[in-house]
Amino acid sequence: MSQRQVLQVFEQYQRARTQFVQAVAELSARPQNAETLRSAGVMSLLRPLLLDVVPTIQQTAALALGRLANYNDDLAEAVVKGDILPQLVCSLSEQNRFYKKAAAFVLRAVGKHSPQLAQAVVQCGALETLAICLEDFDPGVKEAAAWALGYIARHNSELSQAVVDAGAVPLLVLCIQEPEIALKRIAASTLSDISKHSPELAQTVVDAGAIAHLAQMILNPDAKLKRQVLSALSQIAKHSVDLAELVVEAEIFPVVLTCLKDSDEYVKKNGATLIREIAKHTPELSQFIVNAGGVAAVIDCIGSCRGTVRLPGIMMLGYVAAHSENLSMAVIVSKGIPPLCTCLVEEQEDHIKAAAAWALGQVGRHTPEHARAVAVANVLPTLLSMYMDTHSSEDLQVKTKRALKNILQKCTYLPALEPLLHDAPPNIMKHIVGQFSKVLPHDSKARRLFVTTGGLKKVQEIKAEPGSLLQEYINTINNCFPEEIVRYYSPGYSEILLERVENYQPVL
Amino acid sequence: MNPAPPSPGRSPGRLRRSAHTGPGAGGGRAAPQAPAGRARKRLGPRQEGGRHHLSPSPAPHRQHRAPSPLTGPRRPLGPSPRGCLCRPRSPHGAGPGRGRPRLPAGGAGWYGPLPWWRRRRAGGGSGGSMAALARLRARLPALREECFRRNRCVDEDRKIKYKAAVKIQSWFRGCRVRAYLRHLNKMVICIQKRWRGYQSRRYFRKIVKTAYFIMKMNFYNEMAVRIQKRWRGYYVRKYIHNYYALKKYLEAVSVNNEIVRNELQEYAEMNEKEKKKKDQEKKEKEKEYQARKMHYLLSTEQIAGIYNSPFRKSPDPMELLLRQSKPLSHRRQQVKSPFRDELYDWPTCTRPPTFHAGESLPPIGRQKPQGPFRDTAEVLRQRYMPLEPTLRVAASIDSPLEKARVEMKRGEWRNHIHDNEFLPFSSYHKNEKYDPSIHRSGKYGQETYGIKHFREVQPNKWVTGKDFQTVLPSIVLFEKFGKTYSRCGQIV
Repeated sequence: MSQRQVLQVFEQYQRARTQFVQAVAELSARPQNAETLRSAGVMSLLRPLLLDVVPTIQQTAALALGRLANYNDDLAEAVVKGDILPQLVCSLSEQNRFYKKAAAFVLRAVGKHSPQLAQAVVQCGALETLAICLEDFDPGVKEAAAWALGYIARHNSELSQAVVDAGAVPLLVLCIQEPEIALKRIAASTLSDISKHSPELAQTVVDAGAIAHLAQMILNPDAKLKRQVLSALSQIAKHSVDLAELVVEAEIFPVVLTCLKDSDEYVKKNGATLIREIAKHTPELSQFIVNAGGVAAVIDCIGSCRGTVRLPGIMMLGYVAAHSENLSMAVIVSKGIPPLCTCLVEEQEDHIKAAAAWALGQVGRHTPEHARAVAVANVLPTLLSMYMDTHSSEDLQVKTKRALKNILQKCTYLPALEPLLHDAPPNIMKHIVGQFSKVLPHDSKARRLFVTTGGLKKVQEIKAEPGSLLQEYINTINNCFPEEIVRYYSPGYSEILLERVENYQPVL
Repeated sequence: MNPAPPSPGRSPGRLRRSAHTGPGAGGGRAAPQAPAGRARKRLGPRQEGGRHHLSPSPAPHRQHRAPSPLTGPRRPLGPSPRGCLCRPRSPHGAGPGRGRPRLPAGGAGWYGPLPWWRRRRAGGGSGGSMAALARLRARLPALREECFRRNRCVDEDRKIKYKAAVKIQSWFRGCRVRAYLRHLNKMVICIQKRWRGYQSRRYFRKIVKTAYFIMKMNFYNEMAVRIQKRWRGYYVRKYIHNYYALKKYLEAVSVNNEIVRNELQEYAEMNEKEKKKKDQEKKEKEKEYQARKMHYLLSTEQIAGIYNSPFRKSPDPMELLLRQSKPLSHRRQQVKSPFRDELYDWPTCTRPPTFHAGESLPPIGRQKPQGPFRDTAEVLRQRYMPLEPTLRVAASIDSPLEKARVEMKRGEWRNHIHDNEFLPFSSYHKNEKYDPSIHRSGKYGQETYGIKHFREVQPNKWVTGKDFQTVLPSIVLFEKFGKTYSRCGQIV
């Protein structure tokens, strides 16, 4: 045979291999083929192709593997069990950028499913190689490497610590400064995933100088980038007061408030989350946010959104109001109560309702003025009905009960308390009647109103154990009125009168 | 009273007696029948009388101590000045035999028959004495009777007297002791009275002091409470819960919120506009590109294009666009730079929206303002008050006298013709002899040390001809002499 024929055989083989691997890559792009491919034993076939001489075949094989592993975690486990990862890691350092991208894609696909798989990826020594990839010139490689690192670090703090120990954080901060938007997004998302687990990790990220760059990128018009950046900043700020103060010192206010007016829902949500994480630490930080007009922006944001997007905003108002009565008054003055009431009424999800109830409780619990502002909004009957509703979750019930208790203990606005008298359960009734017993002895107009609106009648109908606090309150209320009126309204009085009529001997 | 020492001539019986009676011996011995030669101690009236009553009488017949016949003449037994009670004192009431029976010399004494150691003497004697003896013996029973009777009488008397004496004495002693106790009591009362009075007065003074102190402290506390009340009210109302500041703050917050809301609204509107504009531009671009691609649909003279239907009043806008557009060339499209999109995304307004809070809100970490300030005008007046020095300060340091002197000197110097001093007349003192001082005069004239030379120098021993260089720096201040100021004033 001539040389050409020999070479032809090899060319044929190579063509076949290329065809096969490209077909597999295409098939694996569709999720429904994954099972079939797996049962056909594609893993064992793809594995030697990774070491193929021809670079294109290597890359396509890697791509196919990545897509398969991306689909579900069994395949990813098969990739791990098939000992493919060490080969990938070794060849990562040598090959060209396409291969690197594909290999990083495989690592990402394997590492995203569960902490154990991610641990397996880490044990192969992938982190150092990925960190080296972060220094590459090609932005696509950097993006793939950063993405893989992000997915690995997402699971728990040990894996994040491993990522940090591989020296990835300064490189990620450099990546953030690159001009490519996609790279910025991924790098921001990775930093967010790293810093969310513990204060030490967040401190590491801060020490690499990430905050300044992240703060600059808030102005970027790209919505997805803003999402990630705001998420990263909120993960950093949530751990401690010092970190929150560092974030605030980067002069994000009042620019962050513009994010609350963004058209993208998740940008608003993450912006509200960031402000919430800052506000929850100390009264001074909340005060700062109030002074910057943050409360107004958040209130508007709550008004314009629907659904889970509102939740961080509601919680932020609750945190601000919880710190002190001045801040709570600032929330009231910024017209914060109507949106909270609408949230309470409109939302379907129980956890959002619970958050709104909690926030209202924090606003109204400080002084009678605050309680009055909340009561005037006519929200107490709603809270009561939610508390009594059997369909509400336990969390919602607990939160509404606590909110009611806190508000009622300070509420002296009787017209709002009236409707509650009629259907409150005994443990709430105690507080309502207690408030009446505090106000009625001093206010004659209120007494009159109390009688005319039927409150006295209702109070007489309440059965309380003698000696209990409720009975004491009822006695105090009864002592405010002349005895005839009390007797008149006591239950069964008409029968008594009729009996007297019956037993009466007419005087002739 | 000490028992009288037994005299040598004393009969042993007496010794015995004295042994019995003990300290009462001396008293007992001071019986009326004390022998004359003996110096008896005269005892007090108290002790004497009962003594012989108190003394136990071992023998029932022991009675008054009768001195023995050997002891000398006895005193007559008359009514003793301290006679015993058993013998009635009345002159008539005399017992038989008032006088002491004359006892025979060796005959029966008071003790009846002689004691045994007498009996020897009692024997012997003449016949005449025998008849006397017989007579005496005849009388003996009666005597015995008498003696016995008297003894018994005396004994009873003695007993009665003894008891009486005891009673008297005991009563008297009792009275004495009681008187003494009363006296003591009175003294003690006196002392205690004074002492208690003193203590109480001290206590009272202390109480008064404490009460006064408490009163003062209450008063001070009252006043302090008033001051503190005012101060605390002021302080709290001004710094801790300043109602008006809070009100202003809340108003400022609302104003700020309004501003922020307006600005955010503007920003949102701006974004909307930008977006719309961008969309529109994109659409336009699309349309243009389409037009360029399909420029062949342009209507010609002969054939009306699709967009230029003859039944329309005016051509379709697409037609107009087609007319304007240039046909696409076959050149390959330029590769879009990857940055273009990003730049395209940026809004035309490149400045980020700035927020200006209308009024700056009060600072968070508000420092407490310092105390009440004085009026500014007053302060400035004080600060820039012109100096009004006293006469002493205003006057120059040099007194006028000094100044005048200086003036005079200057005048003289001015008027000098030349500066050489006139030397004093040397011939005036030409012949004066010099008196050398004693300190310096030595034997051979004046010591030259201290005048002519100070130390011995031996130039031949010197190593170099030059002097030592000074190691220490010269005094800096003195180097500045004449060089502190510039010399330009000294040109003339």
